[in-house]
Order: sequence, then structure tokens, then C-alpha cells
Amino acid sequence: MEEVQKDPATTEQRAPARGVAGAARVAERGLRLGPAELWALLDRNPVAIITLCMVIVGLVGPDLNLATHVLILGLLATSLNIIFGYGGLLSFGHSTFYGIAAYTAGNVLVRLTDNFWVALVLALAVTVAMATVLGWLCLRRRGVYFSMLTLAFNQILFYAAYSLAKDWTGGTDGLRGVPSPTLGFGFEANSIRDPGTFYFFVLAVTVVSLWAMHRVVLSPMGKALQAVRESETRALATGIDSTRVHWIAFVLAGAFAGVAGVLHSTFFHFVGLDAINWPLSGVAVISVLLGGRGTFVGPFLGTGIFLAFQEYLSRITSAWLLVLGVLVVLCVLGFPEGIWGNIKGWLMRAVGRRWQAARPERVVEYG
Amino acid sequence: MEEVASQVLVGLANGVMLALLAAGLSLIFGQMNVVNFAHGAIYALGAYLGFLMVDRLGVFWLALVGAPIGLILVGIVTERWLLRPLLDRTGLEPLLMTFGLSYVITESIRVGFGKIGKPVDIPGELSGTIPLGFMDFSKYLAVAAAIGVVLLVLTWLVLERTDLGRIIRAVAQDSAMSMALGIDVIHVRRIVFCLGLALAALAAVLSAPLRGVHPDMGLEILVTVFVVVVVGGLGSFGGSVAGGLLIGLVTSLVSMEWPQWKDVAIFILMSLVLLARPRGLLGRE
Repeated sequence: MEEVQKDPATTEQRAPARGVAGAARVAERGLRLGPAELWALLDRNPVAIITLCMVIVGLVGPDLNLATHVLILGLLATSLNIIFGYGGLLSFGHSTFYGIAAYTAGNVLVRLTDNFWVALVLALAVTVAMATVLGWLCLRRRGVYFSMLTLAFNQILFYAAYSLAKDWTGGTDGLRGVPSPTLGFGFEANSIRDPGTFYFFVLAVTVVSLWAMHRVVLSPMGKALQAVRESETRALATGIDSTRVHWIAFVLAGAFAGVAGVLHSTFFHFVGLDAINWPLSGVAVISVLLGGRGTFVGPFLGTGIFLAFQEYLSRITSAWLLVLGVLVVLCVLGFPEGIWGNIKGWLMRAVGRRWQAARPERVVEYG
Repeated sequence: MEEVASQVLVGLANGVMLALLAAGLSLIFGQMNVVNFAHGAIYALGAYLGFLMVDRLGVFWLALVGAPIGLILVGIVTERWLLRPLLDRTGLEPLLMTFGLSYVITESIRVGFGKIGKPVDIPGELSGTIPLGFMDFSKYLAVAAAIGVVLLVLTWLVLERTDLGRIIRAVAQDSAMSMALGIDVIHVRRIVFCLGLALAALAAVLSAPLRGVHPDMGLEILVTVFVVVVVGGLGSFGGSVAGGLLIGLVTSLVSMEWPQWKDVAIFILMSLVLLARPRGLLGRE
């Protein structure tokens, strides 16, 4: 015990203690829960941090609608972070999948059934199919070309929604009158009409999605993705099929953006062209960038900042987007690890434990 | 048939403007390995500078000189304080910086000039049309396209026939070796960045009387220019010109025959090029 306290940064303690091994370690050393341990626990479970914060916001926050919007756009930003933060592929067209899923779910709810799960499954099926095709096309080029291609394909689908598929999307009028869905499983038909209940329903869907994405990032496939980001040549040399890994990550990111899109259609009861338009893709990039690339809390923090600016700063000045643009430029120049990356570095120094490099240069494994 | 001929002419004239923008984007990429996401916003800024000068001074030709000079000043500041610190970082960082910069420029325009677009008058001596027998071609469009072609030829001559051009091509090919040979690479990069911005300003001022100016005009054209460089091959001057003319032509012809497909056609063309030849028509691997 004494020994451990003298040198807390032993290799053994670096490894996340899970399950039986973790319990055994606690039994051996006794349960210590100082600030350092608490931070370590939270750092390993970023989804728990987000859940905790958003539950508190839901219970005492001033604006439930804004909070719901943060959840939905935060999920979109986090899904972008899978390919952008962990995969190193900058997509300027992530709203494509958000929009496709929102329109599909909206159409299913309007025309077919009001069951949420049917809408979710059908929307995800369409989104995954689109992401598979677009991913294959966009991944024919890497780096900056990939970014340009995603933007271009985002524009195609925008124009498709604008004119070609007018019967399904309503064009500039948008898709109106999406009903509140039913949940089945013994929930009352109108149970999620109430904004408070709806918030926690969205929170539940978001948390499950975040948890799944966190598992993906920690999985061998997630490690391979980060390896390709660090050096594609070396990853190829170790036998990682980089194109395949990127493709899978692209489809996964698209699918979770789709989940956010489905929530969008049930939240607003309306799907307009801005759900598939480029500015939304830009918002997702800004959120990830401001919050911190390659972290889980970062994109949520970034989304919160963006929507708070949009809601509150815009009342003071019409130049709020200008302020945001300046922040993005400063962030890229001076704080590439984003706000959360910096807070993390600061917290780690504050609790005096440097079991991760104090300023992680690019690799941040846990959010 | 006559209608087709007139659409071909209009398409080529618009294609020249696209080629000017794509050539600037392509030159900057070849030199600094930076995709200038703010190129569209810069184009909008150039158009607004032109609008301001036409509005205040009343002489169109002064705008054609003044707007590029204004953007060269913007370019010097941007290159020194925003791009140079990022050049030793990974490939995406400069792209992200210019992405943020595009918001700064677009929103500054919106704050300074208002959200609503403004028309720019065609200079009086160029209003009216030229009778070509089968059609009446807008005199202004003809002159603008001619100026654009002259600019493209001049740029090509500078790149291929002068010492500066040889240095620029050397830096694009191997910047470390150029530095070792005593070339001031940073200075060359600044020149090329400003040249790219000046070309964008010229394209903007030439197009302004045709389409007016609008804060969001930057992103619209940026996406088209991205398509042009993907089709033509990024980093290749010839590719930018060929891509620009091709995209201008396709847009013009499709909007005549199948108007509902006019926005999507160039993207379909781009997908086909990607499938058949991922590096672009004239691009190097």
C-alpha cells in the first residue's frame, strides 16, 4: 500500500481495471476514492460524464428544447468524430446521412406507421446503404480529396432533396406533420409527447449510441482505425487493410448520424432542407474541432457551445457566427486538442497524475 | 442547332471563370499543399470589393484593378499569420484553418453589407449584344470571357516561360531540394498564394455584373470549383483549365436539355471520372 502511494504511476495502474480483475484489485488494496481515482474512473468512462451532465441538465436546466437539440446534434458531432477524430478523415458532408435518415423516418412515420422502432430500422437501413455506396466512392481518394468529395456528394443529395425527390421531401416546404411516434413495449401511446419525457427518451437513445461508439473505438477495429490515422503506411505494413477500416468507420459514422437524424424528425415534427444542407455539416465539424478531436466529451461540449452561441449570443450580436469562425481559427492555430483536450490536460495536472502524457499530442484514447 | 451553339458559347464563357478560380486553388495546393477552403469566401470578398468600387467610383475598370490589389493585401496577412505557422503540421490543419477563415470572411461580408444580395451594373460601353448571325451574344460576356482567356494565357506564360515560373514549378516538385538550392521557398509560396487570390478576385469582378453579389455566393462556387479540380486533377494547371471549360459546358448544355438535372449533372460527371480515373483527367498521381 505504502509503495503504491509513493509511486502512483505504475504500469499496472495504467491499465483500466474492469470486471473481476478490477474487483480483485479493489479487494487487495482497499477502496480509495480520492480526486485522482474519481478522475481516472470518469476519464475511462466518458459516456458516463456526458450522461451525468445531461441528466442534471434535464432535471434543472432552463431550456429543455435547447438541451434536446444539444443531444441530437451532439450525437451527430460524435458520429463525425469517429471518422474525423479517430480516423483522420475530414468529412465536410456528414449531414448527408443525418438528412437521409430524417427524411426516411419522417416519411415512414407520416405514411406507414407511427411506431418509432420501425422508422428507426428502416431509416438506418436506407442510411447504411447510402453510406456504403458514398463511402466507396469518396474513399477512392484520401486526405483533402476525400473532404472535397464528401462536400460535393452532400450537395448532390441536397439538390436531390430540393428538386428531384420533391414528392418525398416536400422541396423547400419541407416534410411537415411528422407525428409523435409510439414506442410499443407497453409504453402508452402518447407517453413521449411531454417535452420532459421526450428529453429522457432522446437521452436514452443517445447514451446507447454513444456507448456503442465508445465500444467501437476501444475495439481492435477502433485501434486499427487510429493506427491508420497515425500512419497509413505503417498500418498497411502490419497487415491492416486501411481502405476497409476507413470504409467500415465511414458506414458506422453514417449510421449513428442517421440515429441523430431520426431523432431530429421526431423532435421537430418537421424535416426541412437544412437537415441535409451543407451548413449542418459545417456545424458538426466546428463542434468536433472546438470541443476536441478524438474525445467523446469534446464534440458534446462543442455542440453545447455552438447552440448556446446560436441561442444567446445571437440576441446580442448578429455577428455570432463571425465570433465562432474566429474561435475556430484560433483553435486550429493554438489549441489543436480543443477545449476538452485542454481541460483534460489541466485536470490531469491538477490531480497530479500524469499516467497519460500531460498534453497528448494527437492520440487521446479515452474521451 | 443554333440554340446548342449559343449554349456552348455561354458555357465556355462561364467555364473560363471557373478555370480562373480552379487554377488559383490548384496553384496554391501544388505550392503549399493547402486546399484553400476559403477560396469561395475570397471570391465573394473580391466580388464585394468590386461592387464597392463600382458603387463609389462608378468606373468598372478600376474595380478590375482594385479588387485584386485588396485581396493581395489580405493574402499577405493570411499567409504570414495564419498559414505559415501551420505548414509543418499535418495535411488537414491548413484545411481546417481555411474552413474557419471562410466563416470569418463570409460573416464579415454579411455584417458589413447585409444579408441581401446586390446587383452590379454592366459597364455602359459594354451593354447590348453582338449579332453573330445565329444568336445575339451579350457583349459584356464576350469581353469578360476574352479577359479571362488572356489572364489564363498570361498565367500559363508566367509558369512555363519565366524564371519565376520555373522556380514555382521547382518548389511544387520538391520544396526541400529547392530550399537547398538557395530558393527562398517562403517568399515563393507567398507570391503564389497572392497570385491565386488575385485570380479569384479577377474572376469575381468579371462575374459580378452577370450574377450580382451575395454573401453566400462563395460556397456555391466553391463546391463547383472542387468538382472542377477533382475532374481536372488538383495541382495541374492544364487540368484546372480543361476541367473548368468542361464543367461550364456540361452545366450549360444540361440546363438547356434537362433543366431539372442541371444541379446534379456535374456531380454525376465527377463520379464517373472518379470511377474511371481517380486522379482526374490531367492529374498526376
